[in-house]
Amino acid sequence: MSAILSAEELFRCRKRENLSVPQRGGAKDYEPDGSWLQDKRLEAFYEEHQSVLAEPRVEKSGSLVKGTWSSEMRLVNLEKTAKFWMKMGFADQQRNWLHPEEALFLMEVNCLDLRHQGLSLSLQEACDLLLHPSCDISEEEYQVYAHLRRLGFIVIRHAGKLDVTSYEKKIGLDKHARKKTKKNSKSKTTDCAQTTKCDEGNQTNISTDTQRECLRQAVCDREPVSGKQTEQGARNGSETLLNKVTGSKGSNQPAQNKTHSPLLDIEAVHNASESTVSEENAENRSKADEFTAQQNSRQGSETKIETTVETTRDTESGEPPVKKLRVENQNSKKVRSASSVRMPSLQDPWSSAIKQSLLHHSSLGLSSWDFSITPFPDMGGTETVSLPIPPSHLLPPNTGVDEDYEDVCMFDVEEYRQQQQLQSHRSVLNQEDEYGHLKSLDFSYAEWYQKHSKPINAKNWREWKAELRQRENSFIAESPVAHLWRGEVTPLVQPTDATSTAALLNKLSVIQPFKGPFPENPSPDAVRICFDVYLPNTSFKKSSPGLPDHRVCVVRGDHPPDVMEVHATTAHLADDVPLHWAVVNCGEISFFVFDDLDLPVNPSSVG
Amino acid sequence: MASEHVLSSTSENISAASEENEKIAVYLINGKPKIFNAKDAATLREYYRMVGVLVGCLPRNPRQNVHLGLPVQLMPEELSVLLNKGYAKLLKEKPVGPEECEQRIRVMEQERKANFEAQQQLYREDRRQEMVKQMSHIMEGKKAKRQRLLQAAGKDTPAEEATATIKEEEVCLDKVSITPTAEKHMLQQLFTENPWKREMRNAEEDWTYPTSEAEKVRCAVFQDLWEKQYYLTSGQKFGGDFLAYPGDPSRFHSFYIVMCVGKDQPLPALDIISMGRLGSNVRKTVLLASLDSGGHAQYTSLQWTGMS
Repeated sequence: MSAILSAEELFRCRKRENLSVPQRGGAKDYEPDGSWLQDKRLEAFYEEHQSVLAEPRVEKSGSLVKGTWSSEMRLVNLEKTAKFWMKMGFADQQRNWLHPEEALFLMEVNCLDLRHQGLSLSLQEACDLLLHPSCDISEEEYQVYAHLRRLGFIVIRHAGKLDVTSYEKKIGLDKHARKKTKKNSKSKTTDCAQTTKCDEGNQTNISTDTQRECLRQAVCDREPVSGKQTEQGARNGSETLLNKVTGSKGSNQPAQNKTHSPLLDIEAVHNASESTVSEENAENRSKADEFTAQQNSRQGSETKIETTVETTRDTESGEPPVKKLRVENQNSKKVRSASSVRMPSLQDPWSSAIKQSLLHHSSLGLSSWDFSITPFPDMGGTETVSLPIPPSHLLPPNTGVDEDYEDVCMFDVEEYRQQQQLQSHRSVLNQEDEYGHLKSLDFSYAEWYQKHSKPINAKNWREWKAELRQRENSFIAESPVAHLWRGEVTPLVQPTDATSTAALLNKLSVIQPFKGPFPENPSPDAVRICFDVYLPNTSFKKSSPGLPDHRVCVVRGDHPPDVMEVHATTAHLADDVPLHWAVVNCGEISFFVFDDLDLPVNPSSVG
Repeated sequence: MASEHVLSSTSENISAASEENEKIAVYLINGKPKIFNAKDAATLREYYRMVGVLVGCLPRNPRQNVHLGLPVQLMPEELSVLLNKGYAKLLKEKPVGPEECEQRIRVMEQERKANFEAQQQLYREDRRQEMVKQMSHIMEGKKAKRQRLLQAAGKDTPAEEATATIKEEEVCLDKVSITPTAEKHMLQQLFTENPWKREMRNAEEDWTYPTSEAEKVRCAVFQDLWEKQYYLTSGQKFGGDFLAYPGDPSRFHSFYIVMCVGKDQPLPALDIISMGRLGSNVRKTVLLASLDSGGHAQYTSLQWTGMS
């Protein structure tokens, strides 16, 4: 029976005078020799040992938190929380809970007064209740937990796989607790300006009116310099635009392309903001920019830049209305489900771009290449080639034809070919200097192949590949070492593989290091990972602890893991967190870590 | 006192404890034998040469790993030997009924209340003594305060008058009311061992160790070495089954690393080499222990030498 202390004894215990812990080790004797000194030392040790162990655990009742053990939940319920709550426990259904191992540890460090059915529990009773096999914490796991907590680590139950990239870990994003954003909670229809700015997750059902409103607002917001005039102009511009289009089409397209609407707004805003000082062009530009923005949103992002650039050039040249009309006429047939601002849709983005550019550059209308009319010079067989002089309107603006040539221009092909050959020779010589050391090799496949191969005739890529494969297969039969492949046992490496040392080594390595893909779920071989351990850190947040610094799994001393289990346990996690294996044997704990090692490979050399 | 027990645990002492009520109570908690009583743990260590392992937090300094506290966890072999020799009894608590529970709650509350009231008195006494000790300081403080107040008010009283008033106050110090300490300052004891009188039942039938062949060998080897007056602890630190000490582990280094093997168990040569190297590096002798056909323990020691 433990001594139940009286008030006086308790009172005496209130100030802990001696916090020193009996030191382990020290100078030991070799063997018992019956000397009085040895006996004395031993006696002193026993006395100190017993007195230290027998010290009572006394705490002020204000420092103790009351907790109740709930057998159904197998958790401890707390009414009030204290400082430890920052790093332990969880809240559920407006109640605060502690896991059994956390509660037991708090009892041991004199922070918790655990009660069961109204009665305060002693440590013995608590051990019996809380480390029962029905709770999912075993004796060994608790011992590891307590060991780590005494050292100061923050230990929580294993939380499973976390999708945190290494970069996120480096900047600490995983540990950053996300605050509730006000954007998500505000109502969307009322505040358009907000939605135009942040469109990340808010794909909403903005009605036509509000969208127009948004456009207008956006334009107004971004153009504080321009006065009321441009405001009016912009508004008018957008409205006239709408009228034009609706007038020409005369059809209502009810479907709204939601995914484009935010983009639309942004583009409008963006382009509107880009409009420069000159107030005269401001109106036109804003009109044109909106137009292009709306067009772009349906075309796709590739052509955005081109068309915007071109259309700005258009505005500079001062011909926006004309162009628009042309485009409209062109594409009157191809109208898709438009957005609320019914613009003509262009089906093929590339061809439309080309068409637009051609429209701009030539006033002939649409033109296509006609090979029968346009002569291509034949540089093949003849020595000289006569080229007709092109008409002046086809030439680029800054060029002109020499007046010596009246009708025909003569081109000397022979001279051209000779020059080409000289150049190629020069390059060959350079190459030979680079790979000169290859000649000292006894056999170089690359050289041999160059000399003995015939060029492959193929019309397309697929044929070429097929021909290549066929050649590789026939090579084995024809090469000087072909006899090696006739028997049952063939070499691991083929001469075709001898391109470089690295390639050869790669081919020879029969067992490749496993690099993935990693399974999603833990395999059945895996040992259960018990705890996620974090370094003692004041910035630890229970709600988003982030990627742990270490993980611990507990094994008993008589059941060590085998290689398969070791690998299977960490495979599905696929992150760099070290896993520590805590081997517990009768109260003794040892920690081990298995590290994956990539054996170094000889670096490749040019060859 | 302890000297008698160090070198030769005399048989008279041990046999004296063979009566039932002298047996040490060991509790089986979730399959592990534990002792929550410091006195029992000391007895086991000093008399019975059973060291065990401390697995709890030390009350004096709970957040360190150098020296742990109660409970003491016994090795399964230790418990088996204690039960075989009749030095300990294995107990399991019977569950408590609801009336018993209510009674306990009443008792607990009564006790706590009485204790708190007694503590109040003690706190008061302590406070009074503090005041007596600090009397001179208190007097000075009061004098200074009074003078400050008077100067602030504009009057200028002679010094004697001031001291007279203060002396009056000194007399009244005994009657000074000391505020009662709040309940949050009341000290409470957290029990390690179960303080309640409760019914226990004998749990020896729950103790099924040893069952497998390997466990039987371990148990027999443990008993044999223990009877030869060695102190034995877990050998996990050195990769063996036990460490055998000539005396208390706190005062002596271990002599042997004991590894239990079955008598027909094949031992790979590489294992023998690694054991030999280990022993020579830590200056301990590796003992390979097994049971012969008669059930007696046989030992083979390894010495790593070279032939040159």
